[in-house]
Amino acid sequence: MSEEKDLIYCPQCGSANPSTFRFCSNCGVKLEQQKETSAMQAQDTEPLQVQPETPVYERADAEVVSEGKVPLTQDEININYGAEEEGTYSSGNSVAPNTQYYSASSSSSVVSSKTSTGGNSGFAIGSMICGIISILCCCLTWVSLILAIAAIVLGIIALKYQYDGRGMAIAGIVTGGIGIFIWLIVLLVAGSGFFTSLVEEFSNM
Amino acid sequence: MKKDTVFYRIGQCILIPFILFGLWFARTGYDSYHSLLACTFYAVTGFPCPGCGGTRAFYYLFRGELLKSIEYHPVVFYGVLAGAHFMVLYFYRKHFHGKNAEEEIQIPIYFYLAIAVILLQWIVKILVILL
Repeated sequence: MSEEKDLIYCPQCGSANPSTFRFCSNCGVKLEQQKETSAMQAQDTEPLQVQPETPVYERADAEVVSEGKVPLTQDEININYGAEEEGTYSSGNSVAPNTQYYSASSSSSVVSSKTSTGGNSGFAIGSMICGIISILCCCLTWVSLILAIAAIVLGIIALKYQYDGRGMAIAGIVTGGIGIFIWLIVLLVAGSGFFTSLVEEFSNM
Repeated sequence: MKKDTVFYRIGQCILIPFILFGLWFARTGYDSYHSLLACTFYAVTGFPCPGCGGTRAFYYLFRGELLKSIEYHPVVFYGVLAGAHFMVLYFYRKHFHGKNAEEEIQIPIYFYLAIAVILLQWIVKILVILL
């Protein structure tokens, strides 16, 4: 019974809030006017049941916070935990240590559609190393070409799946491109020289 | 495992074989096999490729002629310096500076500088031939 007297029931969503709260921790509605009346009504009326699993706050970028917890603004946090709470919390930290605005447990469903995968920096490192070796081994034309292609492929994979080492992936793609460019020059010049000698041979026949 | 730890382990594994190979190459390997590494790009275009001079730089490095090594291809000497710097820095951080042991050495910087050295020396060599 004494617990019901210490609670305020939100007039909008019906969730129970500590009597010291001025704003509902679920929907953010102001609770001040309801302090006196809800304490009297709590004994007679049944509080609205709020399903903790119901997502009540849905972010624009597809992040869903469940368990009925809504992140309050800093001003609301400061108002809820005002002067009467100074003895309990430090002045610079107005958030109760046991209050969870984001459910960090495994049962929470926080979904983000734009989360980068991270990790796997091996692709970026491999891309850059292949690219460097490809431009150093221009003497070995076909080895240089294979390494350049590998550098570009690994770099594109690292960028596409947002792995770690974005700069290294870009460096690998650039050096791989230089390796392919050098290979093309060799092919064109050597090919044109071969073609020219072939024409001369036919003309001398 | 952190990236710098992986590279440190690789460095530990290849350090001695690298030195032994370099000494062998400088004494006998270069005279026997250097003709196989003729540059196709130079043979076709008359201009050096970004890797031209690397073999000779490696050869002169292990013969002790550092200036010649830098002249033929500075990235070989830079690579040895960078590798030594990284190994010493990692060892120092791990065993003598516990506070900084958690910070990872920024390995990509070594590679970015290597790319810059390779491209810069290539441009300089081409300009020297043109001018």
